[in-house]
Amino acid sequence: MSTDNDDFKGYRSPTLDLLQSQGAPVWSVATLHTTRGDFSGLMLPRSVTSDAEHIVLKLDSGYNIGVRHDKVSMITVLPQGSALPDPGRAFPHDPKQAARDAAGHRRHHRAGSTTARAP
Amino acid sequence: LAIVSLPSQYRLSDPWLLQPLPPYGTLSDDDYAALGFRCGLEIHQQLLTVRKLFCRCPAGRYHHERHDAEILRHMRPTLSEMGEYDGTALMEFKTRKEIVYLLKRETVCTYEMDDAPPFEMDDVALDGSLLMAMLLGCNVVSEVHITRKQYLDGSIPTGFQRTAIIGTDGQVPFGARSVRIRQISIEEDSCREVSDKGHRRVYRTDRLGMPLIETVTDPDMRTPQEAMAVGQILRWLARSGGMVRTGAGAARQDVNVSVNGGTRVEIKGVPSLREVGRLTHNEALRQRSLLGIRGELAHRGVTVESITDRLVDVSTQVRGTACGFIAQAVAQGAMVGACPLPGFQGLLDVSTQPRTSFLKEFSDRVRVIACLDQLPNLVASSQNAPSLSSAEWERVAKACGTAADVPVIVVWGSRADVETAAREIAIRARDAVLGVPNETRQALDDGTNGFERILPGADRMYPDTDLPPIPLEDARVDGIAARLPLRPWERREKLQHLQVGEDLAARMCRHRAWDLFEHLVDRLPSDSRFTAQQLASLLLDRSTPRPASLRAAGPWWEETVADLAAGRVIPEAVWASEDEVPACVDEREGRRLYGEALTAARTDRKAAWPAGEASPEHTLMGAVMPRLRGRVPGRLVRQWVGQTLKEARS
Repeated sequence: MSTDNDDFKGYRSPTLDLLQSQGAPVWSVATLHTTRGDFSGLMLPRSVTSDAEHIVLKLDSGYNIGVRHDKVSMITVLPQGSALPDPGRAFPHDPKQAARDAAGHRRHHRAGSTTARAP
Repeated sequence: LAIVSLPSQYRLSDPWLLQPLPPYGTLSDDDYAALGFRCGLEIHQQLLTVRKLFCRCPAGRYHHERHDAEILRHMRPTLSEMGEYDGTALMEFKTRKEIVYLLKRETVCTYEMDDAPPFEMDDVALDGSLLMAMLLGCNVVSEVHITRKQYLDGSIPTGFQRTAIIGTDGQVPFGARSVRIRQISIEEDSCREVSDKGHRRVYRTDRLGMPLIETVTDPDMRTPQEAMAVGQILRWLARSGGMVRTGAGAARQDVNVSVNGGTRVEIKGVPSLREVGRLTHNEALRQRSLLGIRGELAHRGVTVESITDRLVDVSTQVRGTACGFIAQAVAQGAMVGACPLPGFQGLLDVSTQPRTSFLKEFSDRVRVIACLDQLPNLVASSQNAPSLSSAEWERVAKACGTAADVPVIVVWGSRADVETAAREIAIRARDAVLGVPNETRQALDDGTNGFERILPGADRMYPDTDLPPIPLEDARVDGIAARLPLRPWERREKLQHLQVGEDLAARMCRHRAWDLFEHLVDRLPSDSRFTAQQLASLLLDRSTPRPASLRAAGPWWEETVADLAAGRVIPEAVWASEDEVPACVDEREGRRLYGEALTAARTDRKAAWPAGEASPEHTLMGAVMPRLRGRVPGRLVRQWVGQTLKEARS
């Protein structure tokens, strides 16, 4: 059974048990220590049509990966640093405004206020 | 000279902006360290598969002749999974391009055109990418999530590329340290560009959808030379797995460069690793110059807010100009617009790269985004090049309401394009206040680079809704790990252990004959007369075609090496002819054959021969070797020839 709790949205046992025991809810930034190495990123909800064996993680690069629950030895949750994303944002009908927003975002980004990795 | 004549408040104070840029090859490692040079690589390599990644079309079949159909598309951005637009996607949207795809029935299907859903990912490609991830020492993911990465330049008809992470956080040894591998992904290759003129871009679709692996390093390279060396290691490593295509276009690299105070700039389309050094050097200089310009602008009090989107229609002021390219455009009904840049006095002429000034940064943006691609596409009042007359520039400055020393950029074209160009000029000017813009830049033939697009980021990614995640079961991962080939540096260690010479080992460890060498050397008996050094030499220095792979050879190589080890044949015999390998003869029989060959040669020659020849030893060897090659070692024949000549002289 999946939980109605938004903190672990879409996860079912046995993955749900692991996340609850490790205190690692969705939208938290975490490092998963596994037998195949460490993986760090944003914990995402799991699709209800997918299996109950994997945790979904969004890496800094924007890619998603799955980590199998029985490979995980420990989860380190980092302190929440920024506001939660808003995937439900409406499609802006004025692309010029969107371009201006994006330009503003880039300036913000270069000022060093985001955590994006840069060489 | 123009700089020196500026009013005192506009004199450049940063010495870097006043000196010629240091040419490639003149900076030391310490100079690059002082600049804060950092470089990372992205190596793309096509995987060797029969079919494309997500459909059943053939991979690696290209066409250049007539196509069967054309499709026209327009691209539109979409939100990422995190609810953001990607800056690159919005920039491409502004170009208002018509994208035309040329289709050939044999190489493309409805999937590539996004008219049909994808098939499952090709298993051979997935296994190949897993093998590469393990060779790079990456942490392999448990479940592969296929992601859509937006590309609005039209190089992919769907507007996105299907791609997935296979592994993260690997490393490869580099001298006394390691270079970190950030990630390895599998992805679809894009279309091949045929042309890009004005608002129309044309692509061929044959390459589209072929499986690629992309290896991304951390920015661990500290000099351009290190970047080239690491690129070469990654190339050899990929080839050592035997899963990648080779040849023109099969491997491509992008390089990321930054300096202290700069930002990550990606140079795309680097044609070969040899070009990486000069390109990264020039990009470091460009970033240093842009930082100098930022400092001057800050000193002058120019801010992002003080730069306005200003476009003045000066078509009337330049009517009747003697400047050919502007006169021609005006005759065709073009609008001529002027954009004043107060505060930029003396800066547009600053060198950013060899033979390139800061003004080209504006020209590039106008070319790419406003699609004004007939060069020159703009002129500046401060430019030391023939353009408008002094009187015309005065009229333009008056129309703009600016002082004569304020630089003005003039552009021409359709009203819509000139308006886009003016906005881009203002955006680029504001970026100059901030320093080095995040950009993807295009490698040019002369070692410099030009603007291609705004650097994309994580906001262009969203999950694929057509394909479920692929679990990577232990059996699959462990199976590939069990047959992992030796990496080039591990091969080198093995060769060293086998007492193969340094030069030969350096060649063999990255040569395609390695598999053959490894298979045969493991079968040499302990009492073999034929050494690993001789085997390596034999496989690398061949002059006659012999089976190049075990599959092609059948038992031939194993039998031949057994004969070599037992002393039944000599190494020269293997390449002596394309026929059966001749058995060697003992020294007595060899001497007899030599005598016969000598007698036969003498009967055809003058009485004084060979002592009267210019190089008698060479002549004599040439005369007798055809009868002896492969049966008697060459060094023995040379000894006998020496004796014969000595006797002839005495």
